[in-house]
Amino acid sequence: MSGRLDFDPIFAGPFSHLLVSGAIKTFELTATSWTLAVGLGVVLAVLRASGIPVATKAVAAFVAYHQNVPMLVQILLWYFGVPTLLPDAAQSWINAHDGELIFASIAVGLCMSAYFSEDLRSGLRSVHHGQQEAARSLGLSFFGTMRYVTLPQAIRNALPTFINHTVLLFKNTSLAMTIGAAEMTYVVREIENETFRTFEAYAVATLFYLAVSLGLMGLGALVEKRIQNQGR
Amino acid sequence: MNRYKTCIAVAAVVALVTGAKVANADQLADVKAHGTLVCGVLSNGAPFGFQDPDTREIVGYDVDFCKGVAKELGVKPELKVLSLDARIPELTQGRVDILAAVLGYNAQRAQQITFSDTYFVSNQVIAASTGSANKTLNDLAGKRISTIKGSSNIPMVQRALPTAQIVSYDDAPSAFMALAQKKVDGYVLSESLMHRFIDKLGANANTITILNPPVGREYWGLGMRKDEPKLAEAVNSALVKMQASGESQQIFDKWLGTGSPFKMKRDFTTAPIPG
Repeated sequence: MSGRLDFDPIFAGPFSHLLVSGAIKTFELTATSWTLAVGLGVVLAVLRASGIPVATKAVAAFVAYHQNVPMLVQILLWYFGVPTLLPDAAQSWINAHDGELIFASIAVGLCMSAYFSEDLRSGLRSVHHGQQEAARSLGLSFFGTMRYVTLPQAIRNALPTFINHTVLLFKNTSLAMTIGAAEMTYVVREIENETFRTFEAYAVATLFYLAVSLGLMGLGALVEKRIQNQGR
Repeated sequence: MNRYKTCIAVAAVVALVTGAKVANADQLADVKAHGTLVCGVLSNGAPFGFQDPDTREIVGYDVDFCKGVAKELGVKPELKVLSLDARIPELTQGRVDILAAVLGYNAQRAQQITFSDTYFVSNQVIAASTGSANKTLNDLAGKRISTIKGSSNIPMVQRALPTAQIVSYDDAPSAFMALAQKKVDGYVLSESLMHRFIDKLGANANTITILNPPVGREYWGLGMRKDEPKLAEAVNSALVKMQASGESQQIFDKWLGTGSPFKMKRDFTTAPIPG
């Protein structure tokens, strides 16, 4: 076998379709788990800021669990462990509706929501206490203060870490390959298995992840710039 | 340091001596002269080659075939435990005369060693949930089938069921678990391993059924060095005699038959390996 690089076998025959479907699956996983993570992250951050003792303790426990258990373990637990606790009807419904995508999205989404909520929390803490006091003294409720005064400033401050964690979420969708979700890494490994073009196969995956990650970061920088301008 | 040098020197001398022995043309004559047939077997491949927990002896389907062949050749069998990865180099380097070590035929291996006639045929089967509508192999067309990543079963399934969707997992237990939890409709594996997995379900063993027909077949032969036609001929005629006398059937029934946990039926006879 020659040491020459040859990318043709990677894109030959059915493999190009496989690569496209793998990319689509990766984007699907990213979109669903990101939506879950951001939505839940905001709720968690607000709950923690509420000062209600039970709520803050519960959120702290949730964050501690999701930040300290490897995401792979969480994915395996959701895919192989949790379904055994569900009724049969729910199990078969999930299995018929792309269970790999559902459970991977839940696992990645919940895990990353812990990170997002921490980002927002540090963003909230960076907003001067006087802002909140001023808003409350003007007659805004707790949620009104959050909605119109503190959260917008907190989000602006949290944006850089928030973007980093979005990129992390995108990369971590590759862990879903262990439960048989046919995303990019799964597809590339399959192609590698059949063509034995190891370097080329993983080079394609590397370029894909690098391009999308850089794209996300560029998009983030753009949003950051716009929000910063709005703030002035 | 000196001790290492001695070790290396001794190893070199041993290699020279054993190498010289290999060079002596006719291996069959050698085996008969020594009065022993050295068989390479596995000790961790139940029920083919494994250590009996009571007697501490290596026993199994492969071991019995080694003993049977040795008896037909009129020599004593001598067992040598090998590792799965090293079994072919151990044979080609002359440390054993013959391999009886779960050796499936493929073209790459056939370039390195000679295969005897088949003494075992491993069916690759698909299992499905007993309660499902999938009763035969063809019912799984278009359905989801779990496999192990990189497994040789994947092309087999693709040939037998081109429309099936393959979902591959990192290891055999995960892929089996996916079937047990009904995440997939079928799971493809060798028949004997499949029986062992189903057996592990205990009281729930009847929830998984093996479908007919098998997806593919893997032919197992005894392995010998290349360019030893006399030995290959003698081994093949020994296998044919064992088949005729019913000894082959007895060995199968003893390890894999209805009395064993595997409950398999012998659906092959000793014959040259096709392909």
